[in-house]
Amino acid sequence: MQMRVPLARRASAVTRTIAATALLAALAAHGQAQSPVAEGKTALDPAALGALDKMGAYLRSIKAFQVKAVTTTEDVLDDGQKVQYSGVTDLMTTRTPDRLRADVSSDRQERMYLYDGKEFTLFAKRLGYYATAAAPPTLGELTDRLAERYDIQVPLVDLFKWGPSNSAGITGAMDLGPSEVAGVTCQHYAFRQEGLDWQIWIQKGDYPLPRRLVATTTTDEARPQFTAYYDWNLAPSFNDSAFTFVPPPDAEKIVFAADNAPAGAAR
Amino acid sequence: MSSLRSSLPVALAVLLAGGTAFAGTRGTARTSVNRGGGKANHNANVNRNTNVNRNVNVNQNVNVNRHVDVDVHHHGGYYGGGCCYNSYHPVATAAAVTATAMVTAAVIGSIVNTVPSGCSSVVINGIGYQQCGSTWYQPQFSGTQTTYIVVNAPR
Repeated sequence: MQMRVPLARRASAVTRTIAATALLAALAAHGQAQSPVAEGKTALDPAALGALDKMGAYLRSIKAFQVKAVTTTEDVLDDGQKVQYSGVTDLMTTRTPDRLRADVSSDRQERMYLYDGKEFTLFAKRLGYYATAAAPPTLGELTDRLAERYDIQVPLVDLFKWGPSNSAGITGAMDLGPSEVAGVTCQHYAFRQEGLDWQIWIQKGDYPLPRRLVATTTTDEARPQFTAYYDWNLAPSFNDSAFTFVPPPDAEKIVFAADNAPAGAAR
Repeated sequence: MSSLRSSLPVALAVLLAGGTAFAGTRGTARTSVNRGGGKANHNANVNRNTNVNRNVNVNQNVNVNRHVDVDVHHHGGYYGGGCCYNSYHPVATAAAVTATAMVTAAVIGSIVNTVPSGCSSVVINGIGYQQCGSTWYQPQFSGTQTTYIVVNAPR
């Protein structure tokens, strides 16, 4: 992929020759990557990276969507034993103006995330607690702010992070061929990056949506996995009130620890 | 968090504030491929376990104390060794948390996962508190987890 830029820009015949050679090498690598067993060495298949970028660009072009994800997450206990928790995330979002609503229900937590373009609210339904914070105007900024200041990951955050270019940090990319996910014909890809091996199933055709994700954490020898199946609705019906939090009568407002006064100072 | 050095109970507080995981959990699967996912430092928090559990010797729960010793051996290396200690159950952890909550009840700024039984819910200036006798806890979101920080009486 990177070869094209110097090829187009530089005039010297020598450079062209070098670039052409590199291009041939890249094409050869591409050929190998399609049979992953070939060398046992990690390869970067440009077609796999291209498919990821195409999916990312498509995701960014969607104005509104609702996605229901069935997820599993593994924890590693101190002795290396793995345990798996399951959950369901129902997320609805729209762009310009940016809004988000997500209901996350897992074995361990039930949380609602609401973002109306001005404020972010986290609501713990079973406990009846909610907290609200001022929020930036775009989803991109929101995901960063929540992660950095509040240690909160927007549910299914990858769906907001993938874009037209995703190759930074990727050290391995393979195309594993066609695969059916919940009745939808997909192409199955596998990627490697520092600390994480992951696989994605991207819908074939005009709507290159992620349909399944498997992410394997490689920094722990137990290699805990996160998995998600995504069910898409690209024409959700909603009105603006869907993104505004109206606390139930018995709910109590609490604080985000990050916004709380220094320890010991009561308010 | 800045009062970490001041006391061991606070170390427990930091531990509890950090994770979605049980105290006997050394790690969890990353749930996002992209950066900006947060949750990056849980393992560090889990590791502070070591200090914490030594302190739990105060309480009478034999099971809890056994786990304590286990963790002390693991100084600094939560990925290391990783051998053979198979009884760090969430149940025991819960016992440790609850017990510590009572022991450290008066330490302003300490944080626990759960409040003792018999507390009452009080709203002051629109913010929820838990009053447990003379001790006041303020519920808060640490990440997406709820924790309770001991505060001075708000009224």
